[in-house]
Amino acid sequence: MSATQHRSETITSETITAKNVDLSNCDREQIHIPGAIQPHGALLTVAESGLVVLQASVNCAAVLGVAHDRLIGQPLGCVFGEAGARQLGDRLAHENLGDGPVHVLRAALPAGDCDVFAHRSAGVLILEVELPPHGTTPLLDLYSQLRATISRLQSTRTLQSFFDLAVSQIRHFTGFERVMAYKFLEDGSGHVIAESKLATLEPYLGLHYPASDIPQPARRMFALSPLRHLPNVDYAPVALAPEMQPATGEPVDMSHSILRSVSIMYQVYLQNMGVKATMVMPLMKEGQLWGLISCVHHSSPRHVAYEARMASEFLAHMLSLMMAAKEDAESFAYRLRMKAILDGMMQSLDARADLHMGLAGGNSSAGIDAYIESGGAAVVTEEQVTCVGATPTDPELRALVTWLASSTELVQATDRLPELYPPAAGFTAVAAGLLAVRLSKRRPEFVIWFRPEQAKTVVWAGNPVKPEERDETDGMLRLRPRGSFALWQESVAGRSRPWASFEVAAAADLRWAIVEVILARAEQTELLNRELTETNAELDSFAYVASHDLKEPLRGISHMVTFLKRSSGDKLDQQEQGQLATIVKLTRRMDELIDSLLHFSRLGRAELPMSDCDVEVVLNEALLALRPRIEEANALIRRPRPLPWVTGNAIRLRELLTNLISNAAKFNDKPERWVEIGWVEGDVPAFYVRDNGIGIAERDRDAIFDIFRRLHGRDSFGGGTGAGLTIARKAAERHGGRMWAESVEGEGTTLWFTLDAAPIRSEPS
Amino acid sequence: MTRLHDHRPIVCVEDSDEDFLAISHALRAAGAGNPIQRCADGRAAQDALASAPGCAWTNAAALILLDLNLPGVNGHDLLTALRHREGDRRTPVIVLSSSALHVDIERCYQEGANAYLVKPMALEALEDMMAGVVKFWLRLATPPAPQQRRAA
Repeated sequence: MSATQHRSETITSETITAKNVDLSNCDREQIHIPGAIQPHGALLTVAESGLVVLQASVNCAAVLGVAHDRLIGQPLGCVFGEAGARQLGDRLAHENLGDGPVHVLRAALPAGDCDVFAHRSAGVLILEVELPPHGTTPLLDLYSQLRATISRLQSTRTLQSFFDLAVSQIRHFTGFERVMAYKFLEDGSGHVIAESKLATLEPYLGLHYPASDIPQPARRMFALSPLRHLPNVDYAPVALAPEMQPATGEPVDMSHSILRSVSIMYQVYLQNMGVKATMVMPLMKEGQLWGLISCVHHSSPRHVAYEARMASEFLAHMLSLMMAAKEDAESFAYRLRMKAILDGMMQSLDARADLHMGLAGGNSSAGIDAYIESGGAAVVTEEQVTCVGATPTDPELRALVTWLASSTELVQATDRLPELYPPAAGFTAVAAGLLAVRLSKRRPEFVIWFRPEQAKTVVWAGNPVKPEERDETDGMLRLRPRGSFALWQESVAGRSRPWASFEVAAAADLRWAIVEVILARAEQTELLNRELTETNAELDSFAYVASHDLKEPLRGISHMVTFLKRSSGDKLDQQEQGQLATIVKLTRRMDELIDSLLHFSRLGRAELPMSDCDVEVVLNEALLALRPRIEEANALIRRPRPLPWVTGNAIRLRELLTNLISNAAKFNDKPERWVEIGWVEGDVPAFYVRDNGIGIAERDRDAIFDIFRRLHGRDSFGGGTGAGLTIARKAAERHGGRMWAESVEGEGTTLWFTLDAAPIRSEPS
Repeated sequence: MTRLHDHRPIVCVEDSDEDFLAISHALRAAGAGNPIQRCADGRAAQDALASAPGCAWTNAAALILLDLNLPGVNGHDLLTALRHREGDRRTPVIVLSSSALHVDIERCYQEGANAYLVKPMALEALEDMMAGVVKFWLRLATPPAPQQRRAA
C-alpha cells in the first residue's frame, strides 16, 4: 500500500461529529455518537455483568440526586435503592434489549416520578431516566381514542382524506400546535401532503422542501427509530463523563437513545423555523422511508409524556401499514382505469381505422390524455398532428419529434425536457416533461404525453440550488441550514412531475396495442392488394374481350354496309348513298373509341419500364411521325433549345409529345400557325407545348383532360376521339408528374407537364 | 395464273359469319380459286387442327387463316396444339385478329404463327390485305407438301 493511498484512507475515515461538521462533510456527520444528551433526563451506561455504572451524564445530581462523578463504578442501587435496583435487574435480565429502548421502570426520584428506559448498545446497557413533563396534562383514554381513530382511518376513501384525518388525530392527543405528513419524492425532496395546525399559524401544506433539508444521516436516524422527540429545541446539551467508554476507549453509540443530543444542523434549522419542540415518526413502506409525521410546537417547548408518545408511535405504525394499502389501492384504481381506457381506444381504432381519431377519444370515450395523467397529449404521424389538452404548437411538436426520432428508444420519458432538449425552454408551461412512444421504427411517428413545469403549481420552502448559508464572519465554512424560513417561490426550472414506472409501462402497452392493430390492418391491406391485383387482371381481360366482342359486330356492320352500297349503288339516290357512307364512317369512329379506351385502361396499369432518355431525340421521332399532319396544317415548329435527359419511358413520352403537338397544330385558326416545344428549369424540369391557336375558355380548362370530351364539333379541326389529352396526362402521371393548361382564349394555349420522378441532367450518367 | 397448289384448300377458322363472308369475298376478289374450308366454332377447329389425325383438308391445306377469338376455345392453345401435332412440318398459319395488343402478337409468333394481321374495320382495307396474302402465300411462296396420314 502506498503512502498516498494510506493518507487518503485516513482522511475518508475521519470521524465527523458535531464538533467538526461543516459544509463539505455534513452528509457524513456521525450524529449517532454526539457524546451528549438533552437535559430532560439523565443517561447512564452500565456494564452488563454486575450492572455497575461506566459513564454518566453530568446532570445526574439534578435528575437522580447523586452527582455523576460519585456514580462511576457504582452499582445501580445507589440510584434506585436496593429494591428498585433488584426490580430493575430482574427486568433487564428478562427483556429483549437489542431492538431499542424498553420501558423498564417507573421510579420515584427526587425530581419526580421518572420513566426508566433501557437498551443494549455495543456491549453495554444504556439506561435513560426521563423526567416527567412539566405541568403534566391529564391522561386521556388513549386506548379507546386510538381504536376509534383507526376505525375512522380505515373508512377513508382516498389517501388524501386518510392523511388529513391522521394528522388531525395525532395533533388532538399530543397537543402539538402543528402536525404535518411529509412524503419524499423520487428526487429526495419532500412535500407536505397533509397538515393540521392552529388557525393562527402560517400554513405549510403543499410546500416542497429540497432533498438537502433532511440529509442522509438524518433520514437513516428517522428510519431507525419509531419516534424521535425533542421537547426543547433551545436546550443546552449535557455531556457524558467520561467522554469515552472505559472498556473500548470509543464513544458510545447512541443511535437508539431517547435522550441523544441532536445534530447542531437540525437544531439551528428548527430554531430558524421558529420551532420550540418537535416529535417525528417515520412512515415506512416496504422497508423504505416513505415519509414522516412531523409534530412541531412554536410557542413554547413541549415535552410529551411516555404514554402519549407510545400512542403516537403506535398510530404512526398503523399509518404505515394502512397507507401502503391505500396507496396501492389508488394506484390499482388508476391502473384499472388505464386498462379500461386502453380497451376503449383499441375498439375505437378497430372500428374507425384512423389512428388519430381512435386515440384522441371523443364525446363518450376517453382518449390518450386520460390514459396517462398529463396536461395534454399528441399523436404525431407524417401526415397529421392531433393534440388533446395543453401541448406545444404544431411546429414545436414537429421539431420535437425530429429530436425524439434521433433516439432508437421506443419509449422515452423525462421530467426535465429542457435539460435534454434546450428548445423546450420555450414551452415548459405545457411541456417540461414528456413520455413518448414511437409507433413505427422506420417513420418518425409518436404518441406523446406532456406535463407542465411543476414549479408553476408548487410552492417551495427554499431555493434548492443553494440551501446552505455561509456564516462569513465565522471565517470557517460552517454548515447551517437556512436561517430564515420566509417563503420564497423558486422553481426547479423546467421540471415536471416525474413519470411513475407503471405509467411508462402503460405507454409501452399502448404502443404494443397500436402495433397489433396496425399489423392487423397491414394484413388487411395485403388482402385488398391481392384482390385489387385480381380485379386488375379481370379488368384487363374484360378490356380485351370487350374490344374483341365490340369490334366484331362493328366490323360486320361495316362490311355488310359496304357490300350493300356496292351491290345497290345504282338503285339508291344520293341521299341514301350518303346515309350508307355515314354508317361506315360511324363504325370507323366507334372502332377508334374502343381502341382509345383499351389503350387508356392499359396505360393506367401496365408496368412502365423506365430508362435514361434524351427527350430531344424523343421529340425528333414524334415530329418525324407527325410530319404529314404538320405540313397539312402548315404549322411552323419552334424549338428554342434542346430538351434535357430524363428518366422515363421513351414510348410513352413520344406518344405524349405526339398528342400535344398534334393538338397544337390542329386547333388553330390563324393564317400563320406555330407550335413551340421547350422547357424551363425548376425543382424538376417543366416541359411545355405552346401554340398560337384557338385557346381554351377558362371553364373548359380542366374539362379538356376528360376522356372522350370534345369541345368542338366532331369534324371541325380534323376530328379525333377526344382521348389524346387524357392519355397524355395519364402518361405524365405515370411518370410521377402532372399536366396542366394555360390559355388565353383566341390567342393560344400552353400545355405544361412535369415528369417528377425524373431528375434533370444534361447528359446520361 | 394458275399454280399447282391452287387446288389445295385454305382453312379459315372464323366464328363470325360476317367476317367469314368478308374474308372469303376478299380472297375470291384477289383471285384465289382454292377451296375454302371453314371451321365455324371452337369444336370444329379443335377437330380439324388439333386432333391426333387432323382432317384431310387441314393436312392438305395451302394456308390456315386463324381467328384467335373463338367461343369456347383459346386460339393460342389451338395454335400450339397444331404445331405440336405437325411436328417438323409447318403449314403456313396466318393469325387474323381484332387485337392489336403487343402481348397477343408476340405470343402468336412464339407459338409458331407465320404472320399476324389485325382485321381492319373497312372492307376496302380487308380486300387490300387479302390481296397481299394471296399474292404472297398462294402465288409467290411454295407451301410444304400435303401431310401423309400417319399409320395407325
